[in-house]
Amino acid sequence: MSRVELRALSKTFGPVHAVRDVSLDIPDHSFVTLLGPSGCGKTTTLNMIAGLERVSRGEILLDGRPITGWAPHERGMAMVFQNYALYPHMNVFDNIAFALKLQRRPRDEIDRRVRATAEALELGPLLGRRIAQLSGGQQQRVALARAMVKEPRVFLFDEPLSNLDAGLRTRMRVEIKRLHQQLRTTSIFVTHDQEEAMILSDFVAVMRDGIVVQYGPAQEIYRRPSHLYVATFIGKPRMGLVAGQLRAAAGNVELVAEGLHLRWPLDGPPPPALAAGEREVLLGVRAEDARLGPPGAEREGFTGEVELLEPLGSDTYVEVRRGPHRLTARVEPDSAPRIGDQVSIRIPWGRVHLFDAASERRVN
Amino acid sequence: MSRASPLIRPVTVYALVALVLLWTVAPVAWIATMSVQPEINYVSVPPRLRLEQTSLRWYAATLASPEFVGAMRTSALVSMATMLLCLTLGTLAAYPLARLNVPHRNLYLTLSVTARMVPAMILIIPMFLLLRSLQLLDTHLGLIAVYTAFLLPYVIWMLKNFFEQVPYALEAAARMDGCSRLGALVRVIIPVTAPGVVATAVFAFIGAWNEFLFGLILSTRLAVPVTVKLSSLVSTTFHSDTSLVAAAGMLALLPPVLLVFVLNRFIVRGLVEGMKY
Repeated sequence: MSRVELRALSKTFGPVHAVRDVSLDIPDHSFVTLLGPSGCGKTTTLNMIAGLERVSRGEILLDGRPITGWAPHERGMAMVFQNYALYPHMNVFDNIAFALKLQRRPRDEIDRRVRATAEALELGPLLGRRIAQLSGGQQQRVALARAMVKEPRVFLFDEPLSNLDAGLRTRMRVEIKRLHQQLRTTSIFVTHDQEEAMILSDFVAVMRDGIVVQYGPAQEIYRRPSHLYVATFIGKPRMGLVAGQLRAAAGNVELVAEGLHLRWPLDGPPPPALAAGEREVLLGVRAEDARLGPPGAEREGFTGEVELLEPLGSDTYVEVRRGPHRLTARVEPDSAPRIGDQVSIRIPWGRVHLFDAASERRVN
Repeated sequence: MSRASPLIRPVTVYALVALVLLWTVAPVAWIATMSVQPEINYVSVPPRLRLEQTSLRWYAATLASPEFVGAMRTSALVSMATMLLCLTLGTLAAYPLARLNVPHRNLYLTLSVTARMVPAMILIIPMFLLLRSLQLLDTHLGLIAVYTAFLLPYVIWMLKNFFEQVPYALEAAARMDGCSRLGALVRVIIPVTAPGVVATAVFAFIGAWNEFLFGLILSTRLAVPVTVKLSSLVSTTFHSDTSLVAAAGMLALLPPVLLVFVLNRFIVRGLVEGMKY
């Protein structure tokens, strides 16, 4: 059992609020990612969980027990750092064994555990090497081994992949995912890479300016972003947006934007978002939800010019522009139009994301 | 021009290096020669080097002088103690200044070094009175205290700079692995900065070993450092024989040189491998 709870956790550095009232419930065995741009407070939050950073206000609980003031090593957590932070004056074996030696474990136990961990991560032949003789990927695996050998209750990862080149990063990502599936150890992962977060996590906490904007299952974060910020931060390509006035009229929902008049037939009563009449909104649609068609069709969409193509091999992303509005649609590579073509882009009402223009909160 | 240029550069560089070497090594070589030749050979004009007259007897005579050997012992003891004290206190002061959020730390650093900008001559009388009232005049402890006070600000400043270069994550990793802050300092930060720490130690040792002015004023008989003894040899005991003074000078040169030789291993290793974190 290793459930981590954060209760109204705050950190101030003088007048600066690095983290404000962060409350998260991180279930046992789960893989949770703190996601956000640099300076959003995600690493500070992780450091507070680790005990490396003093908590200004709030509480941290491990399996229901408050551990807020505990020293880092008393918490039974292990951390993997961005720059690996391996001890350069020790060889691989001693790096992995360091924590066990400090725990004054018997020599044969240390030897056995270090070798077993090294085997699991294919580090066996490297145990006698100095750190400076290792490649980036090998250093990363030593850092993982150093964390694993402690058999911690919680793994903490501080952007561990951001120093690796693209290919290696993908491999290590898979390796971390596989490790988590094997060990089932509660893991908290910090990254600014939304793709990494989506691939690895059960739950994602999206942070901005020291605040958790949304916390939930990774799919839900993607499918139902609660805030414009989350909607545009998550997903590649970026969610397309149209700013305009939304209203219900004559059995239709209408969006009136600059040079655009979008209309969707309404089956039932007007959506709750329109309970108070018309409102300024940002309408968002993801590329895989938008549909391309022949020019002319103006129902539920608009006709515009193809401005950009992004062929990925498996799919092609098509950016369609009309006036100030740009939306992207995903199509099969074979059916992709050409740059300059006139096409219509249809936005299915059931797939739109609506955000209040002022508060930027989701309203549908 | 284009043909000659590949040679011009190295030749210029080596010529300049040779010039600097000559400038620094020549006086030492001169004294070394003096210490194994009779005085008459080098005071004559032009000086003559007679290899058949080369002898170590002036060294033997110097080492037979209990006063000189006592001064060497005093200097060794005082310098070692000063070095160790500076390293210990310096580390404990430099670490928080480098790592912790110490209020007014820049003010402290600036003040501590500004205090050292005052010429030593100005401080000598207050120091004398202070040591007298503490009954530390002419004692090893008195010299150690004064030397440490003078060298410590530099040592702190140097160590602080070395410690600051250690990435924060390295210390964080050590603390996650079970070290206290002090444990992380001893087990990780100091070993990682070993070349820098060793260089600082050498600096402190040489600073104490070469000190002259305070030794001259604060010690009279029981705790006279070798620098002071040397100067008194010139004017008194060995007056008759400059070769003896030269031999004594060479002997006084030996401990710092030996120390650098022994510790060079660390310093060079640090330079060759680079400070890889």
